[in-house]
Amino acid sequence: MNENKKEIIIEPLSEQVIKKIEKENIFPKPKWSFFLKNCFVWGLGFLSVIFGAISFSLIIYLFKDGSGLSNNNFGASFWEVFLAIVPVFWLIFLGLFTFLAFLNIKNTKGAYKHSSVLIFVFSVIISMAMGTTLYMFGASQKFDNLLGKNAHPFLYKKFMNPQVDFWSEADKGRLAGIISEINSNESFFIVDVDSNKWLVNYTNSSFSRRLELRPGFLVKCFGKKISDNQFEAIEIMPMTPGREFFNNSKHNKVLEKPINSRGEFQPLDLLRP
Amino acid sequence: MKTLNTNKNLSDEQLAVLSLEDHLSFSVLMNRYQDKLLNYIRRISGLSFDDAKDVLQDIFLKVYLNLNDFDRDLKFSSWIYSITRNQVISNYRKIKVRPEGSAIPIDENVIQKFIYDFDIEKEIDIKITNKKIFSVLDDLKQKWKEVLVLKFFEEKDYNEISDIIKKPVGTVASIINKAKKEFKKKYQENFN
Repeated sequence: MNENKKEIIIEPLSEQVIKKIEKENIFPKPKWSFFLKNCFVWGLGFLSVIFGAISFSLIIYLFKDGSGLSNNNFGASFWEVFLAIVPVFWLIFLGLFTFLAFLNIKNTKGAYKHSSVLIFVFSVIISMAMGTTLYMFGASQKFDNLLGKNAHPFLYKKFMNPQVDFWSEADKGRLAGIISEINSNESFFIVDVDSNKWLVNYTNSSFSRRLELRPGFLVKCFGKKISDNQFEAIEIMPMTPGREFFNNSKHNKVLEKPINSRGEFQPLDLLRP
Repeated sequence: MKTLNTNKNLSDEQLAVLSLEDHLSFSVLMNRYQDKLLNYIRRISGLSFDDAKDVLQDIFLKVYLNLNDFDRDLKFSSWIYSITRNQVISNYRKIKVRPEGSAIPIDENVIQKFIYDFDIEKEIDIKITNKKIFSVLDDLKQKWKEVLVLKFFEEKDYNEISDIIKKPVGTVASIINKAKKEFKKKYQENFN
């Protein structure tokens, strides 16, 4: 080894740098700081993919429940139907988190060797694949329940799940609520999103195959408002997303107004299937 | 002047590892790259010799600080060129300079390569060709100019350029092609 060592003369610039390093006691940054930085970039990328996947699972969940609107507009305009069917809020979230995932993956070591388009497509596919898996395992319903219960009511019904708002317009013939009591073979009571109690008559109504008429079941009805607390249903369908929103204590006063056996208010927790 | 005993036969990558423990190994690395990087900085930024030297000093300090981040799958030269490029770009944002690239003499072999690749008519005086080449290069957009400098002056291959400018090899090839066309077009506009 020593035989190979030769004497060389330091050039002024390198001498200046070495002097500065010695004078200012500069040391190379430790390996762990770079490891931590890489973990941070990958971690942010991973989180973005997870949030993108959650958004996608909610898109499928909401779209699937609202897809019936494409056959029947239930007295609504094209844009009302469009905004109720297409979960714009979650699409924006999906786009945002996919872009964040893309940026983070792009900033990892060696990512520059692959084209940006490829990395972007990869981010989209991975978010969609994970989102579909979450949906298949029922996680999207849990996310929706969590949001329905805890999110700000305005944010939830206007943006996160606009179907709640769409089906809360009794004047326009659309009413959603939780069945509080089966009154007879022709009517039942429901409690709507604003804690109002309605008597729904279903004598001439058609039913969805998935519908179960029992207390605690969330239904959406299309028909006609008869009075401030009576509704004539033409079509009754089950409503899955938004179930927990009707139990949102920030919004719904039902918990404070119990319903008794005669159809008066009682806590929704007791009405759950 | 200071003398030191260091193994000059070691590769850059080996010296980079040794530099973590030993300042003198880092001196050898600096000496190996000082002239190359000074020319590179001046060619892509147009900085004067003294300004380029100041920038290079900062670059060497940055390289030293980040030695542990050196990816051993890469060539050390690609890594140090990449740091240099980034530093020059951030420097460029701070101070807007006028190109002075033509002040740097080009090796005759490089000029021959340009003449061959770009179908340029050879001047009797090589200095005139040198000046013409640089006046066209200085006139090009930075992204065209930097790949031509890396390809023709620094003699880097596509993979190395990809590691330096952090773009896929295919993109590098396409940028070089476009840069060549742009250079040829500008050269013909100005001198034919």
